Amino acid sequence: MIQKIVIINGNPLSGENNLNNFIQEINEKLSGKGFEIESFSLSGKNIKQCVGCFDCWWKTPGLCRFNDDSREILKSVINSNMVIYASPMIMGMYSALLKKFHDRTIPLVHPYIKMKGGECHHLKRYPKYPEMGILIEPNDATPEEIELTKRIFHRIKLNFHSEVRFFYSIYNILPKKLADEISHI
Amino acid sequence: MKLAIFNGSPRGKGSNTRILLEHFQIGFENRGGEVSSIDYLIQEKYPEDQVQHFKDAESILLAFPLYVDSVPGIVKKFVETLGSFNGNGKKILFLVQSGFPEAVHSEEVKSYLLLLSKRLNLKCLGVIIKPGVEGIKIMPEWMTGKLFNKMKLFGEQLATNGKIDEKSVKKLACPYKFSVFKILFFRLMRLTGMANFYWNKNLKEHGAFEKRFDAPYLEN
Repeated sequence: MIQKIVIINGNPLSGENNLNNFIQEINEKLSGKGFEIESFSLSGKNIKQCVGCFDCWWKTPGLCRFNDDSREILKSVINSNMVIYASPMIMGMYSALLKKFHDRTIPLVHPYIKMKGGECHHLKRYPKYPEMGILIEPNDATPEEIELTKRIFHRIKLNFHSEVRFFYSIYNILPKKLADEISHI
Repeated sequence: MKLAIFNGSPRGKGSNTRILLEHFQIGFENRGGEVSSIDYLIQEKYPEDQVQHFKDAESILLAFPLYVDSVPGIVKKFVETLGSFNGNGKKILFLVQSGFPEAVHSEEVKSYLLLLSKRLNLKCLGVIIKPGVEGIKIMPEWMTGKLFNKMKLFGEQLATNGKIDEKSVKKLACPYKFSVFKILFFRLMRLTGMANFYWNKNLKEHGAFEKRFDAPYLEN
């Protein structure tokens, strides 16, 4: 049963806009239903780009060499039941800001590989991983680009031992309806 | 033929991507090709120059490692900096290398690169996918020679024919998925500890082997 939800907003634009307003509203609706919500707006966070050093895998297992805001967010993510990634579609994919954060999530998994569904995937570092929900603001993305973004998240879930519970355009669902949907998961 | 090379690896000059590109470049220049610029996207000091190199290029090679099932953040940022650019049909070639030993992991990023080419009105010459690249720095020559020769061959093909051979690209992206036999072999490797040799070697070198299963963010 879902109790704690982390919302990660990959919108590079702060302030009032359709995506940020949607997130504000879903945050309120979910809080109103008794969920514990932690919301992070990446545009206001100091998150360095992963440099591929693998310190988090072979020097300080589970910890990145950069002691920036990603540590606080990763701690919330791994101790939650669901993480909602929100992003505008920019140049046919989710934002570079969200991508930069995703690159920093590798300390959450183990470098060792195991076979899963006939493919190599990373071993768990933690006993459980949050389920995922994705919200996009489509902007000028084509249906193919949106479908591909959905497919990418369905790949990400494999290495993060997760499930994609929903993938919505913010124009195809109302915050209230989404909050109801989540409360029935 | 002139080629602008973009290395999108977060490891920059210390990357496996660079090693592959160097061999490509040797083959390309051996057959009269000219490399007009080499940009490391991790060096973000002069993004305007990098964007200008991309826009001015006669033809482009963008190479990077697969990162969390997609392009690395720096590559996505570069693409966003490019914005709504019309490439007017100029040629682009992609190289995606991954640590995973199967090409299936790079399928989605390949689709993205094809859609991106369409969006930027670029003529895509192909997406070279090479799985199993992590560790090539410590591999002996007999293990990497074939791969490096293939990179040289691709460079030669591009300089000579203006394109690369699709069959060779397809062959390099093998295995797409492990066969039943290889899955069994991998299981045997895991049982003997051989599958984790590379990681264990590095864990031990850093005195972190005993801490390899640490879960520092776990709350009680």
